[in-house]
Amino acid sequence: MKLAAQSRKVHWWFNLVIGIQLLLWSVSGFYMVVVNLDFIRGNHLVTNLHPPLGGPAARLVPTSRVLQDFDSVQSLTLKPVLDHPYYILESNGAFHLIDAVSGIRHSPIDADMAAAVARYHYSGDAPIAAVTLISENPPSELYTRPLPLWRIDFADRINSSFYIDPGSAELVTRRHDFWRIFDFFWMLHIMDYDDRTDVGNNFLRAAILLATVSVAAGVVLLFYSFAGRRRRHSSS
Amino acid sequence: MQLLKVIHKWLSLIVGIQLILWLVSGLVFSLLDPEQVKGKYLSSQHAPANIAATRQLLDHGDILASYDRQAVREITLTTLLSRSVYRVVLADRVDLVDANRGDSITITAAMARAIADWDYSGERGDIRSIDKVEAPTLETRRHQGPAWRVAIDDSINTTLYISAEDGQLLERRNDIWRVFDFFWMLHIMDYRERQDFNNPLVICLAFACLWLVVSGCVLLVNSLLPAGFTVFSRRRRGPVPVKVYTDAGLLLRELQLPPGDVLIDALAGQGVQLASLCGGGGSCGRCRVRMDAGAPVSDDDKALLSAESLSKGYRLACRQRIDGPASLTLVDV
Repeated sequence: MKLAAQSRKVHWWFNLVIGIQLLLWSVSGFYMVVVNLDFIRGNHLVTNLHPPLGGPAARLVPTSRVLQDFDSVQSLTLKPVLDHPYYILESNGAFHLIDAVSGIRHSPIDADMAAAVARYHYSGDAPIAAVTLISENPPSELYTRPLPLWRIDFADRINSSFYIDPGSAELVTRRHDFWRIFDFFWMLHIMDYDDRTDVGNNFLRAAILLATVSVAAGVVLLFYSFAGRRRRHSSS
Repeated sequence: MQLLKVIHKWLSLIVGIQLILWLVSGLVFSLLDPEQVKGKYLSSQHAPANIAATRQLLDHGDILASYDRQAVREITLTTLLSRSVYRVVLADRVDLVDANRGDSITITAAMARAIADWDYSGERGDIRSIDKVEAPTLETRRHQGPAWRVAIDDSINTTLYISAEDGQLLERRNDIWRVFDFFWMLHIMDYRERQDFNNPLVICLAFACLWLVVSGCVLLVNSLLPAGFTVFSRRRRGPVPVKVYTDAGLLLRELQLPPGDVLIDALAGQGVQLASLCGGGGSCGRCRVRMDAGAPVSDDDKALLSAESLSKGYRLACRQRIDGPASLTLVDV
């Protein structure tokens, strides 16, 4: 009796404090497991992610000619952009896009080219709603990705946004409303309301400890609850 | 409310253990250092090496010429162990070609060792073993293709995985990651692959848990609002006289009880212990007492006592709030 009564008090008081967070964990956790992760990642939104170099064997600008314009080069990639061969040169963390046939430098790419690249990778047919160059105050959905980035918004039902690196013309990431909801729930789940990245925050640790006490008391009560089911009292 | 209680009880029977596992694993995630889990803290973060533009350097075009253009996705000139190499990404594999001589490079065990040495920054742990894994294991599940597994003899059993195709460092695993990963498996309930958190089992349990918590929250709010519950009146009014009789009709005690308190708790506070199995949860029916027949009847009273008992004034003491002078008779159980 004593343990049961104490457990009931603990269960009640602790849940009065932590019940809301348990509800938030359950709602956010349920959303995260029930919505398919591939869909959240926007895999259905993209196409032509790895096109072959293909095309006719045009004479390419020699590698050494590309290299000589830069002091230090960490990597030099030949790949197709909009079905045309380009060199993407990495120099001290920055990327440069160079036409591999003419040798003309295209980076940073302009709004038209960014929109064309986004359209090339977009699997839907909704029109483009906006093209914006983000060079400061990035939206939280970009986390710590380096700027600047082109943001291309599509006028589809889930407000898809593609982010294109102006240096390499690569599709850096894509976002849509279900991803944004996921991200919001993730924030609620890990209780890091500023950066949404730090799982090791003390707020979360304290909440877990409180909730564990409450749930443990609930488990104790479970035994008593089912023990008490055996008979139904009628008149004495 | 009665139905909600039954739902809450049965759902907790189903979800209880997993709910504890979710909390414990969550606590483990929040206590482990992510840098240690990722193994990055024992990695010497080298800046990428500069490409040496030697005279013998082959062109991208030369490399491309030896492949079917339709099969090549990209060709990257980069550096591997201070050697310029071309990394050729094809539809189904990655090739590595020496950028000066043009011959194909195979990542040998010796090269894997050198790459591991180059990356690992921990206090001199000797390499315990190097072996090749042909297919992805649990530790390299995010990658395809063969890999070299370099086990290092340090305190946390670091294991580096190096792609046998292009020499890239795929993963840095250690015992801290292994602990994390074990609890991750428990958290997402994918006991085989440990990566699919859209599996039917976890969806079912999360659904049950959601309703467990929702029902609990409704019950909690409801328990704050029963008729006669007066948090404030406790301060306003003085104690209430309550007479306690035995079954035989003898006056046992005359008590002064605080108004607003639950009867069973207030009696216990004065040394009158009523029987209870559920600890005042309104589910065992043991704490019944006989009171004035007009005393309020809760759903739990209705569920556990017959209509006849109720009309005779039997009530559950855990469901009565003290709100005025009363007489009650203890019942021999």
